Amino acid sequence: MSKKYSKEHEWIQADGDSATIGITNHAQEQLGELVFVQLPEVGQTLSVGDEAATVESVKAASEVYAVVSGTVSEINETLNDAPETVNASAEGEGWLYKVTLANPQELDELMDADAYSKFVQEST
Amino acid sequence: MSPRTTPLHAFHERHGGKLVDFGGYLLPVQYAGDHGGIIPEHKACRTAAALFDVSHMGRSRISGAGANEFLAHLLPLQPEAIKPNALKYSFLLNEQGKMIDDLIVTRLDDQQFMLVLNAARKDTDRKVLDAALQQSGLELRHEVQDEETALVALQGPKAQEVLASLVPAAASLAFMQGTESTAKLPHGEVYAYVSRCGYTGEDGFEITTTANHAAALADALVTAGATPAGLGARDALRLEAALPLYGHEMDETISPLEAGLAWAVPKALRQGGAFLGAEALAQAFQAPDALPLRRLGLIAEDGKLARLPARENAPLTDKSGSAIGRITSGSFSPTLNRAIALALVSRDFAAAAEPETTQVLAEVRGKQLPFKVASLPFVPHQYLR
Repeated sequence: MSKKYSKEHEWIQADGDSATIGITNHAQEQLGELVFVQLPEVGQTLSVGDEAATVESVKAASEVYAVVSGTVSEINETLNDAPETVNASAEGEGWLYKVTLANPQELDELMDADAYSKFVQEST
Repeated sequence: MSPRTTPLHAFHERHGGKLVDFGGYLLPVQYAGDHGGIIPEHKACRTAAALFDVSHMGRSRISGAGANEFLAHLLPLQPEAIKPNALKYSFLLNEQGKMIDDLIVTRLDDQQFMLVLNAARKDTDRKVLDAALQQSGLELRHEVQDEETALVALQGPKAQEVLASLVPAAASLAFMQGTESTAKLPHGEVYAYVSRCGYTGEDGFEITTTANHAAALADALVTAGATPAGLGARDALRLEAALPLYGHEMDETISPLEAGLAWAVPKALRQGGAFLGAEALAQAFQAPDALPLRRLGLIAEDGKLARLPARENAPLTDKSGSAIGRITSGSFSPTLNRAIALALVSRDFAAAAEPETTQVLAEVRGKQLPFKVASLPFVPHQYLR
């Protein structure tokens, strides 16, 4: 399945009932160099809108909200020592966490790549 | 009110500055490009030379025969002891001896001083200054020079080398000393008042020039090797150097003695003087234990959360869970690769605190982050001594 995007500048890549979530390249550009990433706990259940993670730049902390409901199945442990991976590869190696989807239909509410790119252009 | 722009606005845009309203002025948090970003700009300052636009700061010139007398009535300073072109750090106090602003005073000549004020405080400062001026009955001029001049800071171990290529006189300045000179720019020589001072802990200079030549000066400094740097890097640098920031470590409820700034009050003025707030300040020096707060430096302990910043207003507790105060400035230190903070804590806690030993917990989003009391500054000052 192709990548989906949220208005809060997160991306989600679903594969069956599992999905990988991160912040978009546009978001990391806006935040600047990350110095700390606080990830959810494996096993934690998230509903849409819950605070899932926090990314910290030198200047400020930004919350990352859950874009889909589910149970956290894996977190990107490499970010504990190398938060800058998010800057280098926000939509690749800098993924934040994986969930087992509780309600895959929630994906339909999100934007595809074209819609997100338009959304970013209109909001800047 | 929409924010004002500085004479370097076009320069900021050309370098991809991410502009924000700071103290009523549009200024870059950071720049774009290969050398842009808070951490690279911070590094440029610690290892080479970084250029900051500080034109938002207030510049007030006081001139006239009674200038010494007036300054003695305004600030806890001994103006007659300030040599020509010497700079002094001082502050404006209210009647309670608490801080209205901190500032730098430069004696320009026998009858003239320049005061550099914080952007967010300059309107308040000038009201106090003008009221004091009127009350003094002295024949003095107070000229606001914010519009017709620009102020830039060039900071870092290579600042002297970079600046001396344009202003040779800069090389012979001592710390906290200035000189009126000219800068050699491609289109000719322009006015430059150069002072050896700064707000990063590094050796460096602040340069005043006329507004219309500011962009050309900034371009020439970049060509000579300076990296443009924004507010984000500046804040991390000043925090590492443990330099206080008005509105954070200082405000109208905080005494200079609580903020760790007693050193800036000349000994002869600690029992009293003619300046604003003299009586209350003398009381503070006589009975410092009556002041409830003290400044403290904190550094994150080793561990998984060492890089997680505890920011302004994060509540602090001691090991037993008792409240001791709050963080006033907190960030990530790129030099130390961990979180650092300045805090205001109870006098009793501060008195018993031992650097590198005493533990403190900062609450961030429900987590208790372990910090240790630190010796200040966090990163050694590199001032030319």
